[in-house]
Amino acid sequence: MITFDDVHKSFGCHEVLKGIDAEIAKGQVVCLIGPSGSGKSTLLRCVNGLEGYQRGRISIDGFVVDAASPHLHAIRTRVSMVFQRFNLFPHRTALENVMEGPVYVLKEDRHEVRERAMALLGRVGLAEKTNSYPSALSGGQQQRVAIARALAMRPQAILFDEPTSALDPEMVGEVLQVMRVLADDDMTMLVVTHEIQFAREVSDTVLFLDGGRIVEQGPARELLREPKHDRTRDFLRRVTHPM
Amino acid sequence: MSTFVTNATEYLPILLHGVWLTVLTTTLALCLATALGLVWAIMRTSGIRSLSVPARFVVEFLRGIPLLVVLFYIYFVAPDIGINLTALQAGVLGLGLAHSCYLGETFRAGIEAVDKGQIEAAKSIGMRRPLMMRRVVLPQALRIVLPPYANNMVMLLKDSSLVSVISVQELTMQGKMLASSTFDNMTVFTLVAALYLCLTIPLNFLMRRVEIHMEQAG
Ligand SMILES: Nc1ncnc2c1ncn2[C@@H]1O[C@H](COP(=O)(O)OP(=O)(O)OP(=O)(O)O)[C@@H](O)[C@H]1O
Ligand SMILES: [Mg+2]
Repeated sequence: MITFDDVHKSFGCHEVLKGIDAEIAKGQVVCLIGPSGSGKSTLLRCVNGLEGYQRGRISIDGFVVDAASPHLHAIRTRVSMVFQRFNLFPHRTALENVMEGPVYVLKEDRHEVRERAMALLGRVGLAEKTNSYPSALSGGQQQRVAIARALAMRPQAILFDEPTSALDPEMVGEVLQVMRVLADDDMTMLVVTHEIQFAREVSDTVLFLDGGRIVEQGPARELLREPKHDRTRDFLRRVTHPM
Repeated sequence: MSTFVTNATEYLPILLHGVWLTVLTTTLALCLATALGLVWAIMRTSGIRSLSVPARFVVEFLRGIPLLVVLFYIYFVAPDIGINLTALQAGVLGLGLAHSCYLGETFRAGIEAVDKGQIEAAKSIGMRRPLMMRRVVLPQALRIVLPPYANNMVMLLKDSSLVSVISVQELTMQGKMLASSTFDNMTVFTLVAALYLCLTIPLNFLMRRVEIHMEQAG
């Protein structure tokens, strides 16, 4: 449902994505791994138009994503995003954060949305925290609210940019657990992550990005157990056995 | 001392009339300056050149002219081109215009200080710019802007004394007239100064309370 077709992207004269080709099918979980600066976040942000790209084409269910397109807002309502630093609205409670999009962007009925938002917060284990402000929540709790906020839009896919990197180690598990459940429910997910264990267990496909190119892609277990390229092997050795 | 008290009780009702006009001028000018300031700030942060450039021009232009000259211009020059304003109207307009620049810059700084991640979060749930401003950016900018806004408010109140030059009979003007008719400069201007403090000090206090309240709201 998400197709990358020879996508090129530069910041000024610095080319960050050098021709990306990939395909993400409906219900698939795809993990994007690679060294720092390889363009993972940039690629992810191109999918919902937070960044534009210069050449090639990204399409979602046949709709071309283009930063100048009038359909961009509509595309964003169908592809949600979860950020490394949560980015919850600090002046709204957990419940209000989750309700914001459906009520004000999709203009859905407030009472219905409220029910759904409560259910979603329950689903991510935060039924008790509906009226808390983000500042009163731990990082792990905030990220789970952010996932509920993304789900409230009833997206066809969710993009995750290192959702656990800003968390204290003891909170990583609770967030990954929520994502695992989403994957089991056949949510289409594109996840930038350094959690190799998570990638191995949950994802269908892993893309290894280096220097703006997809060096290797394939089924998670194969690619992570027996990478074909030296660069993939080096990278995996470094992240799994940090010195 | 007792003559001060007797004289003061005699002058106070006259001066209170001036206080009323000072409050009226300040309030109306503040409304105008706030509304216009918001317009300048939104234009300048819009990222659209045909909006940001004119806003910047207006702000730089108005900021470069002394408030007294702005007031004279509106009150004395405007009738020449067919616009007749009462002294109060001219005063409110001049004060409001001049202070809209300061407020505009204050608001702009507040808007720009909102975390970029907030804007990305708003965009990622499909918000268009006006909705994003209203629901995400401005409420957060408001908290950032409140302390400097309170400062601006006090400055505007003090600057309202300048509209006396175009014959608005606010507190300063009343004081000057009263002093020249009674020759009791000491009592009159002491009272005038005290009355200004009675307005500015509670204002500061009130704003501090609002700030504390907003901080507690999370
Ligand atoms: N807004 C920007 N302007 C200019 N250059 C940028 C911008 N954003 C990213 N870059 C550059 O693009 C390259 C890829 O950045 P990107 O954030 O996509 O990497 P990443 O793979 O997500 O890295 P990390 O693992 O550190 O998050 C980097 O060299 C970065 O410096
Ligand atoms: Mg990144």
